[in-house]
Amino acid sequence: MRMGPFLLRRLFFSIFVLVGVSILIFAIARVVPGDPARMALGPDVPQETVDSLRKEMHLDKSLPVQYFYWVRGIVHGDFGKSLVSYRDVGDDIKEYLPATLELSLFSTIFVVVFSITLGVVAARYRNSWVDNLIRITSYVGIAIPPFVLATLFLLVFGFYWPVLPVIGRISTTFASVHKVSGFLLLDSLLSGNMPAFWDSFKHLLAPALAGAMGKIFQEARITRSAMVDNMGKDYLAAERGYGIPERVTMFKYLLKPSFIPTASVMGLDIASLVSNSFLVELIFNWPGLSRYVVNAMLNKDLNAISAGIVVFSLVFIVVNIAVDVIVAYLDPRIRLGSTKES
Amino acid sequence: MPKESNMHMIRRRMMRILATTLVLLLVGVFLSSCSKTPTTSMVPAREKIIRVDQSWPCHIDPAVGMDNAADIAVVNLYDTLVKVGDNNIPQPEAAKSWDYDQATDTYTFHLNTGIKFHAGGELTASDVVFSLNRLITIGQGYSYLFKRIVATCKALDPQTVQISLKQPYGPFLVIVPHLCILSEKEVMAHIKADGPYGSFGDYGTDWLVTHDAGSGPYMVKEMKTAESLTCIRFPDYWQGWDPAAPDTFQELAANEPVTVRTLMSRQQLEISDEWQPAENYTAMSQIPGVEVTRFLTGAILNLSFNTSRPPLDDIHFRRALVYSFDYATCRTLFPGSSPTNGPVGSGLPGWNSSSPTMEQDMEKAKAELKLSKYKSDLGKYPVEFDWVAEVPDEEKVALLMQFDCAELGIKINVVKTPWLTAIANTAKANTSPMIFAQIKTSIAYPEAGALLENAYSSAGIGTYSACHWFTSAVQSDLDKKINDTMKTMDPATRYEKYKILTDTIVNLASDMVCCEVAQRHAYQAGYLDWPAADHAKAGEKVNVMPSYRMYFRDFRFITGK
Repeated sequence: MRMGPFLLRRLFFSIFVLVGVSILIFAIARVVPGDPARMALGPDVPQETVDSLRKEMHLDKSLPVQYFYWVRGIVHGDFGKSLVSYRDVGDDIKEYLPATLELSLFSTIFVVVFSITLGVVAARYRNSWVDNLIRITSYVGIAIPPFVLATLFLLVFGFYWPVLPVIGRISTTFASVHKVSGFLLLDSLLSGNMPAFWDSFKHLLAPALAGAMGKIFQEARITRSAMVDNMGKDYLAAERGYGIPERVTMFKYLLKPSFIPTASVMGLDIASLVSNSFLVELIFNWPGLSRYVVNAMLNKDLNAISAGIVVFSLVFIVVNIAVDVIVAYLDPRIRLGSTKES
Repeated sequence: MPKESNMHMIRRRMMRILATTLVLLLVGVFLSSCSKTPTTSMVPAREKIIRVDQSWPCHIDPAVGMDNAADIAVVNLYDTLVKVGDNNIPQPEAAKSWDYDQATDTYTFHLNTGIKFHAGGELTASDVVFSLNRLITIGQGYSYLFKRIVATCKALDPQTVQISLKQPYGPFLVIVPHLCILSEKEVMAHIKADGPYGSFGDYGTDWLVTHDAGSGPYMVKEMKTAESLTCIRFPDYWQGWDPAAPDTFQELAANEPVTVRTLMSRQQLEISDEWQPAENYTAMSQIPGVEVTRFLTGAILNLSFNTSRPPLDDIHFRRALVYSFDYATCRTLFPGSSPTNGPVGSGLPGWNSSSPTMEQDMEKAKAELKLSKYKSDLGKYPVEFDWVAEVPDEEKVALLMQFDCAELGIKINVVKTPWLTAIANTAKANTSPMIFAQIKTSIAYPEAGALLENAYSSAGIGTYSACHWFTSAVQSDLDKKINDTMKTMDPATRYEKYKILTDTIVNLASDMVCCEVAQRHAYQAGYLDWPAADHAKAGEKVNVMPSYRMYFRDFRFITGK
């Protein structure tokens, strides 16, 4: 399969997906009851001020006209003004998106490392006490919602054994880290501020783990199942016959084909880490985009809702494309099958 | 073994050693930095920082913000002409004195000299004029208090400001604290030219989201719009400093109960917000050094009746509801609350102390119901009680009312309504809820008028604070009484008129005021001296304005703790 045309094709169709999502969320946000202008200004402001704000937001126009104004603004890089933060939505996204991405990436590292390790170990020692322990832990881990885990971690590591910070991205004792990427870990490394690096690392641990736990166990189970399915294959018997160490067999020859279903689910989980971490961000006072968008929904901040959902859609699209590329890499049959067809 | 194979094996071994070393290094460094949070016994001197958690967002632009978080910020960042003292009467601040000309409804304020702005320069009358014009032009925040009554504002000289009103307005001096004085020079230096205010551009609204242009005791150090606001002491503050006063204050957007409790236990939060569940206050009061203080500031739990929808259009039916409610049980749902006798709480000037307290009286309820035109058709006229989904405690009140009314044969349907839907519904009479629960805690100014003016005058119709939908005759009478009261300049006379107005409203039975809700805060009494909490402990009156209770310059850190 040639990657270039594949990627171009996917990107082309993604535009239609984005347009469709934007129309859908634009319409839904405006149809939901509630006057965003009155919400923003409060009950005591005179009606003419509310009407003036509604006019400024084009809420007195029809939906298609409002959509046109919105798209025109997007094309010029103007996402509109947030009624909650009173700033340009673009500025808000620039501030909050890196925080969520950093948290999600950190969670992803946990997910990838631990899910693969647990899945491989469970498969290697299948039906033994190790496997049973991992499976029981998985059931519990999947059943417990992330916000419950967040609360538990807060209590354990913040209250009873206070070894980790409980709010924010970095302690206030640190002067602002010079912003390059918006990722505090990276920015503090770039500026050589190691105390800030470790402080922001510690701030990341608890929320990242809380968000990652359910996904770790879910993907561990999928990995285990896939590996057990492939374990009876003849090529593995041949490798063992050749004397290849079991560790090499498991991690190199068995894991690669077994990882395909895990990769597909992992992609969706990683994308959902970006958009669904609202409660974890709330509990840890993490200034992320997920929390921002949920607050926007509660306050009917139309511009912020639309822009936020479009950003999340973009993340899903990018992650899905990446997953497809990874799966094609893992399974030559997909690559070769496409080449043959073309 | 072939040479390439050897090299491969060596390379793999080296990679394994490197990876193991890296992991061990990371773990080692992490464990070494994971020390327990230093307690006060380990720290030689406590940092004089006050951290409070609040509902977010926090708008620090005084022309925009009007929630608790914003009020707390601006009262510490800005000076005003007049402030509200602990006795709830106006006191000089930036203005050392003022005169009132009754003939022309004009106030003349004489300013103090030597008041410096954080960015430099001295506060003059032109800054006051600029600030008021800015507030009224932007039209948000507390502008509604000034827009309807201020005619002109001019600087007679650098130390004298004249504000002329369109008509007499008794509470004017207690609304003036909402006029925060900004540095005109600083704001104009940061305007965006392409704004909606002509030559004033955006009036600095974008810049003021994260900065201040004030002269108050504190100045903005850092505003993280989703996380926190950090402000530091302004060393050149014109009224000087006590050494034990805080150097820094911080507002945190973290009010999840578990987070608040954890921060309190680690002494990383000095004062909690007032919206914590009762269980959390109980838990926090067990933390050594933490106390829970309680303020009665006129905040009430109020059920508004839509008097345009049957059967609530019948005054006897409404009175039956009012008499049937179990107020004593309701108070147990809101720990720390007190009985009330009308739509004005006891903490507010203008409260009618001689009115009887609301208590359940089923006999009176039955007697009123007998006079109602709906007495024979109760089944045909169920009453809907809308409670706001985001305030779960209101459901308990609704269920209590449902239980009480069942004894009378009145059917109450309990309806959960999202806040957005509630706002939309209250805009029209036929969609406005029949019974709408509200916990009125935010008081715009320290008088009964703050609760009565907008809620009962025609100016508030169509908003969620005024959804009674009176008949035109009743509304006209209320408007007349409210206007007359608000035009009364003498405070004592005005307070008496508030009492008459309150009695009128109680007689209309347009509301059921369930209780006066206490505002509770957990705070670090072990090392922090909070004047408002001390007043409350001593049974004295406290400032009803939440922002002034958090005027941090008056706080003191207890030496040696």
